[in-house]
Amino acid sequence: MTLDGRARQAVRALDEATAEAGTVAALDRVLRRQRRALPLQLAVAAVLVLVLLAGALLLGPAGERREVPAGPAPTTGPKSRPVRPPGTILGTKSYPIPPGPPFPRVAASAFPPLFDSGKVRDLRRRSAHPLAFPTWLPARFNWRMPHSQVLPRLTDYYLQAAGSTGPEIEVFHSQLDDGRSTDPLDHPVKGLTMPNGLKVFPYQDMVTAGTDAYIVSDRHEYVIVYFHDPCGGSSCLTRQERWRFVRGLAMVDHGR
Amino acid sequence: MADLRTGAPAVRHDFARFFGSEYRAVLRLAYALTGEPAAAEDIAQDAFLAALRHWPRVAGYADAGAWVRRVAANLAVSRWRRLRNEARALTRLAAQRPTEVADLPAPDAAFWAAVRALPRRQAQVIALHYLEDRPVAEVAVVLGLAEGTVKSALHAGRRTLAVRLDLEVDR
Repeated sequence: MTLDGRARQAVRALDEATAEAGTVAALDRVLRRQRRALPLQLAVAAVLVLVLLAGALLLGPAGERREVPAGPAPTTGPKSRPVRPPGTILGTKSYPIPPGPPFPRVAASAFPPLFDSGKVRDLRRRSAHPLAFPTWLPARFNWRMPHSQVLPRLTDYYLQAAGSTGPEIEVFHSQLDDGRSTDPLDHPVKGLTMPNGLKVFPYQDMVTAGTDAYIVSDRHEYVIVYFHDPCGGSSCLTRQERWRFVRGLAMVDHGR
Repeated sequence: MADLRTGAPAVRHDFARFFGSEYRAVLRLAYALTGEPAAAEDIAQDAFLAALRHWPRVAGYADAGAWVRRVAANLAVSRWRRLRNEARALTRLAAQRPTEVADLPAPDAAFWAAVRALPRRQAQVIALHYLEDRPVAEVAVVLGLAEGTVKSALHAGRRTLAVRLDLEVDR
């Protein structure tokens, strides 16, 4: 048999396999996902407008002050380096990493109550993925874990706050490679090296608006953390809290 | 932003028509490149959601279908997105939500598995070439590549496939 003949046969099989897929139901699912994202996009747009207005008000007088001569410009001496705001890394204008002291390395006993169970302790002891379990969760949300899977090569779980309409934190990890995405849909962002040698790559998800993605990697295994926004921005985790959760994963002692 | 919730019936109609004409082809492409029915559905929907978010721009393209295929093809071969979709599929399995896509017979599943085992660019080119019978120039447009790149990927991919599947290459 020839390759093209075999391919035609495989294409026919694919046609038959997808023949029952209903476009109406699929379209409805896409529209529902779009509707869920709309309030968030409007809120982000409103906040942006407010910030711009406030900035314009604040910068107005400053702009006038800049017109006052400030003396002769220096013509000699070393060139000054551009100052980056604290807590940012190159290439992450839209993704500032909040500043803060290194997260303390913690023992398993510091797990948040949700993960402080015999099962998780046992998993952590035996798991090839010690990075998978968080060491910090803000208690005020009364978290629950609606779904979780623990498999030999893949562990994932979702965390949902009480009263929220959907999971807010999605974590899964694997051991395939260092996890850096080469997908042109992902906004490329340089990684941040933690004091224990692990790297954190923040990603801007270009498909799902309102979703933050972080990858924590030691070049052998990696954890991907998605932060969704099921609560319209008002009572969800703040950016600082999201980052603290990621640091809790990244700064955990790799030797358990 | 295309507002499909608050009116804009013309936009809604345009997008629905576009979705109706392209969804199955995009789903088929995603299925070929992932091998997982549930993950393929998620990827196809993600691709159309991206199209919907940028609808005024996408609708203006000469070939909006090519754009949404490129998104789906990139989503399907992105390793960590694929893992994410597999994780979601497992969750869906646990919740016993069935997919509308059937499993493939073993020989055909083996063919597409061999395609997926190729380097990701070759897999994308081969899938588009066979699924849609597109010439090199159109595959290049869909994937945003030079024609020469597509030609060499197609040649290398077909040669590898023929060896791995023990088939003859057509002249």
